[in-house]
Amino acid sequence: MTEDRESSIEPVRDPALRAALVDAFGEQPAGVDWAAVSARAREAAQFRLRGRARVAPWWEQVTPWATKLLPLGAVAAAAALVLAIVTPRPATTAADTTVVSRTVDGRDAIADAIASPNGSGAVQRVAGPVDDDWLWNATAAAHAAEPR
Amino acid sequence: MTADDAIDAALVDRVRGGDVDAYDELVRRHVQRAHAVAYRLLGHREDAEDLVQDAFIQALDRIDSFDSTRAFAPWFFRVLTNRGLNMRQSRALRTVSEIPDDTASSDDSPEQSAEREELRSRLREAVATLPERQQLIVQLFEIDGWTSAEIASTLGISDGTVRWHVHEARRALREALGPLRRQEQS
Repeated sequence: MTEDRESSIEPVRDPALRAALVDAFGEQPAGVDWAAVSARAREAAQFRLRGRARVAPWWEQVTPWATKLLPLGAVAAAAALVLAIVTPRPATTAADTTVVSRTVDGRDAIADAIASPNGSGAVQRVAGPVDDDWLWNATAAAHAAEPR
Repeated sequence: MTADDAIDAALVDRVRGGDVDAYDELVRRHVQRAHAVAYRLLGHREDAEDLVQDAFIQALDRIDSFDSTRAFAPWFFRVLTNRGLNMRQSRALRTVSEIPDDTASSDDSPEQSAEREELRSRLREAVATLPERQQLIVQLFEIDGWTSAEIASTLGISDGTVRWHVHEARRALREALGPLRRQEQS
């Protein structure tokens, strides 16, 4: 292996040397069919090029995302586990049924009706009869009782 | 990076995606120079064609390792010359045995023919003693008439280095052929 050096002097063409070298090594071959040589090169490369042009299946396309999402998912799962361990559980549990009670001026209307002297009648006026006409009847009675 | 290099880089990017037309264009742009270099390495037309095809395939196989910010030609010709030198070593080649048809003149006397043959074989021996890259450079420069700039851009070396190789090769050839010339002159 020789060490490359530089020269700034352009060598002058030497016809005698060229003639001697041509005699020993020959000229470049004439009449090469470049189209045929290129076609051979293309044909030999077809299979490889087809392999490169192949559309990657979904799992190969997902892979780059998965490499980012998997660590994120693992971190999130670990954080959730820690939170579940350190958060205190509630002392009581919710009831199976929910009782809704309406109050007027801070008082329970049904409880008042039960405690009133006319008992069940008052409860009926507040809670309503089974036939659903109580609202109409109560409204009509109230209307009749109004002073004209 | 020259305009030609930029065109090559764009083609290489398309070839990476399997574009057959881009590969075709890339081959078309370099096939003649590739064949010229291959012929100088192997000295045989069909071997040169095989080498060119082989080098393009090898380049395609390694295309992902090619740095697109650099020129394609020196990278490709490095692939080709390495492959060519391996082929030359591994095969019992027909290289030096293939003598052009027009070298033996029918007008030569037997004595002249013998002298020519002597010069030819001395020259081949002298060239064979040069470093491999220098052999290629001197043949491309002296026989094929390439400029030092053309050789430099193909092999990825500086013009000055090409010129130095030509000067060195000439000096070595002069030394090797000196006794023969003195013999002719006396």
